[in-house]
Amino acid sequence: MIILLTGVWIVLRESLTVATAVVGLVLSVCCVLLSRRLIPLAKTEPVKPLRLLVYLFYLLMQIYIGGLTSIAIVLLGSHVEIVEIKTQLRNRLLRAILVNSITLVPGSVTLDLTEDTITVLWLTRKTASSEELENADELLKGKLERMLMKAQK
Amino acid sequence: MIPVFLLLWIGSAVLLVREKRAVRLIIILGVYSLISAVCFFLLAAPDIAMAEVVVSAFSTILFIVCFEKYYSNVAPDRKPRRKARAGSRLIPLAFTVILAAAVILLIPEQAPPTYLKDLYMSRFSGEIGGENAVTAIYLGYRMYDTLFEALMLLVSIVAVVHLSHHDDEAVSVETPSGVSDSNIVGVTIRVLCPVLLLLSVYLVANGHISPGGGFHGGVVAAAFFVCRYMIYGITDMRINNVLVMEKIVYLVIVVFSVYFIILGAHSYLPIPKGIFLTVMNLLLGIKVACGFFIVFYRFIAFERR
Amino acid sequence: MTIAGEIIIAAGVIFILFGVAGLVRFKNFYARILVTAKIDTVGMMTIIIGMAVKHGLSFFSLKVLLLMAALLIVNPLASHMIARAAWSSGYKTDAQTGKVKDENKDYL
Repeated sequence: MIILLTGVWIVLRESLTVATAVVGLVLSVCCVLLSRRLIPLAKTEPVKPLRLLVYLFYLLMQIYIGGLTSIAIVLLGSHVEIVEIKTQLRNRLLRAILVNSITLVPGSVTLDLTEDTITVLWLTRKTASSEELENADELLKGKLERMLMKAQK
Repeated sequence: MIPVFLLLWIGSAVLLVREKRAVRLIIILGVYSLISAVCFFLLAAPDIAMAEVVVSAFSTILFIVCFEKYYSNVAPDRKPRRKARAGSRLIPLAFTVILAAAVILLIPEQAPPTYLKDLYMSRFSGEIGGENAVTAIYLGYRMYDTLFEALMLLVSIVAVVHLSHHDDEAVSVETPSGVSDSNIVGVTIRVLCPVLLLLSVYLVANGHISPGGGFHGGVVAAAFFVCRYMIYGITDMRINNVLVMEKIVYLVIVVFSVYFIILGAHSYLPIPKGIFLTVMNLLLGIKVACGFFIVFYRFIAFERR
Repeated sequence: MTIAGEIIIAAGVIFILFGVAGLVRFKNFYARILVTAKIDTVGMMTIIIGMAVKHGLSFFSLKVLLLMAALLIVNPLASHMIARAAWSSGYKTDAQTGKVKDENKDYL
């Protein structure tokens, strides 16, 4: 996190010198400590950051695929459903990432997250057949969740 | 043609002062704001004209709504409704059309002279320092403006604090936002909070080089506390310290700026101009952050039922 | 390089156009929330990527990509909160088929 913030500072100041990096490091440490102190919350379990980077690119691809699908649905016929799906992730941060990814992919918006059930608002074709409803699990989050499981330590 | 509008302005102001009935007062206030916006525009101050239009439109509607709400059952002097005469719609319409036509016809052919802009743009680097002309203007050439704006913010915050309804006890210290701490919003915003702090530090420190400045940095710092509210709740922070700190910071701003700018101390004091700008931006940022935090806290903690 | 960037920006604008068409077409709140989430995410992402490609590898592109990262974090959150507020107030999803998810949970 601190490394990320130092990178952000360097980008903001638009200069790649040692002085900027040192100032950025000091300020990032201060900001992280200050925010940890002012917002007391339990820490989340650690994750593997490299897998998360891979996940990011995969997510971008999914967003575009979902965008095109959603354009097709909007043009042809659409139907809004509320489905509930279960997740098997145990890490709180990864669960939040999964839920946000479901919202990011066009065509679905998360409504609620209880202990391991996600309620999702979903946009499907007009004649939603029953096997689609059962497949909602897989369609909405299957691949995303598998990638995230690999990111658990 | 401009004296005509000035006379109209004075005339409507006189009408405003002499009017006694509340409903008519509200309408005449709206007309007065309209005429003053037109006069601002004709006197080559379009930004003030825009601000006046927005404020007057909003406040006229607000006055009418409040008046309706509170006095609708207490109307001893209300005569029974006459049928609206045909002319009563026509007069305001004609007035507005004539005003609009006059304004459109009176727009000057050539652009107003920009000697002031050229003066500022060519000299601000040397005199005030930094590379951001806007910062140089609001911290150097137009310092009075900034002082009074900060004062206006202070007064409005005092008004919010004293006019908001509250019982004497504060709201109980649960998580009032209704979101528990193990859900989506909390976990996600937790990632964003240090970035907000860093961004506000950057905006304040770089105010004289890139777009930014004290006001923006202060607002982003207040946004950090809004995020804290969304994750954890905000009623456990002590607000009295913040109230006092804001006023002290304003005093420091006034003393500092008066000493440096108005008394001309910066020409012989060995403080480089960059430091002066950064310190002023920092003070302004702290003040604005405190102010907005107080307003937010007030609205959240004491208005929820 | 700039032409590729401009093509990507144009594609982003087309995405937004389709989204706005969907917005006008739908009457139900939930469908509109879905379409708005789509416009925010896909449209803005495409435009930002197009701008970054157009300016090549410079600090400007990095700043703009930083903006995109912030958007990716915050936009779904906003859509989620709006939709959830509607859902927990008992808003119905589809009036015609009578599919009423009317749980009036009390979230303060």
